[in-house]
Amino acid sequence: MRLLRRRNTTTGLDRAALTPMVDIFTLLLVVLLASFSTDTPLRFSLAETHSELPVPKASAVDLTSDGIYLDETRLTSSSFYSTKPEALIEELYWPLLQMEKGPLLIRADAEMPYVLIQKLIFTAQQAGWKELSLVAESKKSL
Amino acid sequence: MRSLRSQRLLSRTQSQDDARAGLLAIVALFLLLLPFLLLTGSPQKLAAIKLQLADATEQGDVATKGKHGEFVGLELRIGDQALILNETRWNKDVIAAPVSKAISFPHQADGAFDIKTLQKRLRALKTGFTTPYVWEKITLLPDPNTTTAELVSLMDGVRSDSKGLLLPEVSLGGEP
Repeated sequence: MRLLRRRNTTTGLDRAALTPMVDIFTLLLVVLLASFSTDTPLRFSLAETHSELPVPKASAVDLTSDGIYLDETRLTSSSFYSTKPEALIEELYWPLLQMEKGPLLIRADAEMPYVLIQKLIFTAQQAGWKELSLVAESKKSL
Repeated sequence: MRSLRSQRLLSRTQSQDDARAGLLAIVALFLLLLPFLLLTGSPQKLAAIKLQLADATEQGDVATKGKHGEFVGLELRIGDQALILNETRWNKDVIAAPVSKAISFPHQADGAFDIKTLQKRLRALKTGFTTPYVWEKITLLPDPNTTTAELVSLMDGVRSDSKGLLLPEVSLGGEP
């Protein structure tokens, strides 16, 4: 008698609780998979875009207010080049020239002026890089 | 009759137990998978925008052919007060100077670009040039102080509107 009663309450309760729980987990998983990325989070804010083009695995030049970085290594100051008339960023040109060519990603802080991006593109092209992409944050991010 | 009823009830209880075992296994899997995803992933989903530099030497590179054989080149300059769309039309078969027309789209009160009005003009141009040739090119000429966020929003705006693709080939111009 006790056995029967216990079985009735547990099965009814479990069934009622587990099914919506699995539904919620499934929805959560789908949302996470759709909006999450496995990329390392950046320390600066990127511009937002509607583009959904995936970011290729490639060397990256970071353009932030505290400097210009190539693959996480700081090369020079960005404020210096935003005022300097020279189009070529020499500190970036020589490493880029020696590297094996392929796609190159430009990850610029949302507030960086176009003049720096333009100098960066010019420098990369002078060093022989042809496939340049600007990285931005997808509007589908959480 | 009684025995039949009790048999049916018993078999139903057994199948419920089986389902519970299956559900518990799925929940356990989710409980492992979700923290793993939350720990290894980042909420910042990144996207790439291909950069293309305008070739200033050849006007045809930024042009699209219209239905009467004329070519149209489009340049969008980002000014302090307005976006200025420069439409240049010329016919390569006839010796004639290209005809340019500049249309200004003043910035909104908060300084934001009036992208919707610009998109309307680009859509009208695109509809007027229904040819087998692909209408897809535009050159942006940003101001040196234009921020990356403004540039990206404008690139998005000329690439597509709510009706679909506008000018997917966006080149960047200007002297470095």
